[in-house]
Amino acid sequence: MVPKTTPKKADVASSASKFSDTISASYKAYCKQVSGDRQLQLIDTFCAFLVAVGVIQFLFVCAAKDSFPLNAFLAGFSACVGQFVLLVSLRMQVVNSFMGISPQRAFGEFVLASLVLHFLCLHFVN
Amino acid sequence: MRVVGVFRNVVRTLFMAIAVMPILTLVEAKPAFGSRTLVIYDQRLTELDSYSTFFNSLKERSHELTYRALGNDSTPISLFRGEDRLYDNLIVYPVRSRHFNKQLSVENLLDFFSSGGQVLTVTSPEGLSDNIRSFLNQLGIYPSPRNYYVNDYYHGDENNTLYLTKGKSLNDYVVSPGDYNLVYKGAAALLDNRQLIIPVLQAPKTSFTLDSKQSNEEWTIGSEGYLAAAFQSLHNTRLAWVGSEVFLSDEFSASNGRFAEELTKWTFGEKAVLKSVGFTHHHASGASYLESPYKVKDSIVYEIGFSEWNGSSWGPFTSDDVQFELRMIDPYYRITLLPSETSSDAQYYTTGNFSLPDHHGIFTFLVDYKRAGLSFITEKDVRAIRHLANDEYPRSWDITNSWVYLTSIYSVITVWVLFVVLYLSLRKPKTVETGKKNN
Repeated sequence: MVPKTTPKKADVASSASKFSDTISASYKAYCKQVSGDRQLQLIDTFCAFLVAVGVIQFLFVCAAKDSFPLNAFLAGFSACVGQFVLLVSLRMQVVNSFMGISPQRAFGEFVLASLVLHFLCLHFVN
Repeated sequence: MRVVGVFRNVVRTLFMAIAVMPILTLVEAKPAFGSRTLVIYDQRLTELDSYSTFFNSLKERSHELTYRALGNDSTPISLFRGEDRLYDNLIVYPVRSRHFNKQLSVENLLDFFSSGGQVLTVTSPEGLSDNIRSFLNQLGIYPSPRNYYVNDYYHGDENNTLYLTKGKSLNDYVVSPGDYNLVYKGAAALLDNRQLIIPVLQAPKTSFTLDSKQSNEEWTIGSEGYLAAAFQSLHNTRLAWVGSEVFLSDEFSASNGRFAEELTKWTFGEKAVLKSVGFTHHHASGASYLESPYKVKDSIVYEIGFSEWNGSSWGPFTSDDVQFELRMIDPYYRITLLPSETSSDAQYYTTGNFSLPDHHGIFTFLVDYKRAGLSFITEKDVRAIRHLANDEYPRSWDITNSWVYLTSIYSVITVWVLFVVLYLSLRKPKTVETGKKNN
């Protein structure tokens, strides 16, 4: 039991500490999950790279104040987003494989879907 | 004897030369469209002899005059044979005869006018027949009724004769600018507010038009009245109205002669007559529309040539206000044309290179030159402007902006290939699986 001298401050302090606790706990859990698993590290690095490329393109549009080859922008941006989505779904299956779908099959589907995505993007950019 | 004979021959040739030369030079002056002129007059009102100067001036300008006197007979006046006009120009003097309304109907007059016949109507307070009045009313000219005289205490005398010392023409193309000393006795007209009507001579500010029998009714007051007016239809047929018979007479020809001559010259198409000698438009490279149809943003040149009738032949017409329009309902372009080449009979104008709008559709290439007093010119050409075909757009690598997006796509693909290779190479050891399970 915590003494209730200044309940509000204590609440604020406790919620703040709870938040930081949660952050640190999830960070620890993440580190624990990833450590030693080179595959997950690889997937996460690729995800970070995709986010960076997507942000760069968006900033470029803002800086140029012109979305002129809009199809090219959409193709470039959706390549990042689509690849990111596919990667995350692969990661989910790597961590905890779905019922009746082996990790090998999941990876095969990932490769196939990625190839379709690249094909579409390259055609859309003209 | 011989010497005398030679001398006589010399005198005769000299005389012939002097007599024939003016005829030769004058024969050149002629109307642009036709010179068969019919003069209709009322025997009881008009003595043709007192208009000899006026008619001589017309004859000198190659008019073939036919006179038709109206008396007590009521045989119809035919202006057409079948559908062909018998005359090119019509001069109607004031007519009092009641038969005239049946002899020449308003429909006949309008047919004549709209089929290209030029009309000069002279009315007077003594002679304003109903057919002429309703014909003029249809065009928007309302001459004062019978017995209404225009008068002015400052510029006139007690006989309703006006002395305009500084008469000014209201339209420089109809009557060239300058101060005219004019003598006028007759009617004034109210004019409609129509663009086809060209006011020529305005009544003085101090004038008024009054019934000479009941002096309490006015037709015009001050400068709302007009003493001479002109009208040009969209087919370029011309009409002029003068409300005074004596305006054209020998008695006042010394003062009025030049004004009357210019007015009749304009009316009968001897001046201020324009025509287009044709237009062309093509790619800036010189290829025609047929060789390669226009597409959006193509560079195009439009050219047109204008001629003006100078009284005897067609010559170049120079102006700086000719405009070209590229229209699809609204004008997408309105370009003032620049003079380019001049030939002996035409002045050519060009737009220079201009690029078509970024909009496909059916466009009209239009020159619509309408100036009060000059012939109207309308040249239209309807052409399709197509959009780009799917292989005519620039490729992505031609646009520098898209290099960023291209780079990112290819980097995603490259990194993905690397990822697949690394992933497969990492997959082999089973330790990862066990390690994960241990977690």
